[in-house]
Amino acid sequence: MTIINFSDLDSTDLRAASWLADEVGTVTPIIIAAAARIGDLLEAVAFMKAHQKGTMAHTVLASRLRLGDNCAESILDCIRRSAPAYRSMCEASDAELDELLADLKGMAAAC
Amino acid sequence: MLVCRKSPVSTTAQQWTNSTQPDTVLAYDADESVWKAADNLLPQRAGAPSLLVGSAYAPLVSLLRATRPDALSEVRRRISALGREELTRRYRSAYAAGKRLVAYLMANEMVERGIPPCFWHEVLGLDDASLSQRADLVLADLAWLRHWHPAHISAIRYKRGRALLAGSESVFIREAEFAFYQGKRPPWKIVGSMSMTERQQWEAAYLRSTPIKRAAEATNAVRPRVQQALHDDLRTARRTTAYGEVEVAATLVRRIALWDCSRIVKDGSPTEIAARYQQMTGMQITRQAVAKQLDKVRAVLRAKGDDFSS
Repeated sequence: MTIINFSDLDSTDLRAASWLADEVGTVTPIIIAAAARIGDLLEAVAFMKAHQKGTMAHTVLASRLRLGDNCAESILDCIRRSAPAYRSMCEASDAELDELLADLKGMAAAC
Repeated sequence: MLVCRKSPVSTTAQQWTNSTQPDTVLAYDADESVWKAADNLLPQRAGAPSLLVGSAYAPLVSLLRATRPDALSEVRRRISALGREELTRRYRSAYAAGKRLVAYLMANEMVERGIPPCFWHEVLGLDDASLSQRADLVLADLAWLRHWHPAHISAIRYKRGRALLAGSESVFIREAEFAFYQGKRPPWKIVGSMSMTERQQWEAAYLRSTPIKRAAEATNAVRPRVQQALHDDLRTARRTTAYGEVEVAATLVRRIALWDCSRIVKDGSPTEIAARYQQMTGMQITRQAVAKQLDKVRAVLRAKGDDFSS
């Protein structure tokens, strides 16, 4: 698993890590260790905000985050497992870009 | 759960979390003074930001981080080839549909081309926009300020405000998020902290103080009368083979646009109004033509007993 250095994180990422630590009841180094990429932290925040405390999806991701780097499953895989219908920011962004790109290519081809 | 709504049905996208999603939505029909089931509200949810179903607000930086850099640069390259009308149309539909990433890319291109945010929307009643939309509006207004008013940095009193104009792209997005403060800071406070001038506020779509908003509302209120007066005047204009109905319609549109610009650029010279006209329409016009057309507009309005020229 990739190790994220604390110095790689900007204030937004640090706030996300701190918020997640409070939310799942652990400390920020564990949260940072759980993330394979910096973007995972923001994905986890978005997911936690979309699923209230007490729901199964929230509990599953919270358990994963508390494990830190002692788990092979990535945060994104955990999100997919706990809520298969949920569209992560990564997937949504990709879908938006792909749709726009296809549209622009179609327009260029028609011209 | 039952949600009742007595205020007029807003076109603003609603965001429901999974747990708070209502079973029934009632809307108050003022004409018939009754509450009605408003199934037609439900499609508005489809227009809500699609990125995070149920989430309250996601900073744009999160979305940008989640994108593939190669796809992003390819999209940017293709967007740069789009025409002005196409850009604006795509921005409006992306903004309305909550496609924040697409709206951001279109907005960036329009800023680059010198189209101020005030001309991106059909109407500027943006106070009812959703949290994510307001965040994007703030970002766009600040991006405009950063790109086209770099010298304004000397007028800003606060270090964080100066960082918005002088910092790197990532610093800019971070500081814009800080200024927005998840929607808790009203636009007039950001205007104050950035020491935005009147002209800069007119260029902005969302970051406007109350006097500017009121002046814009006054312009919107009198525009139909001005349009009617100019239309009536041109109806009697003599038609020739070179000056037919199409040319008359173009003249009307040009005069209304110039009147709009003269209201935005208070006490502005014809050169300044011409520059604003170009920003608004994308078409160049000489200062002499501006002066001549505005003289005609003022004369028509004076003859009608109205003087909305200033």
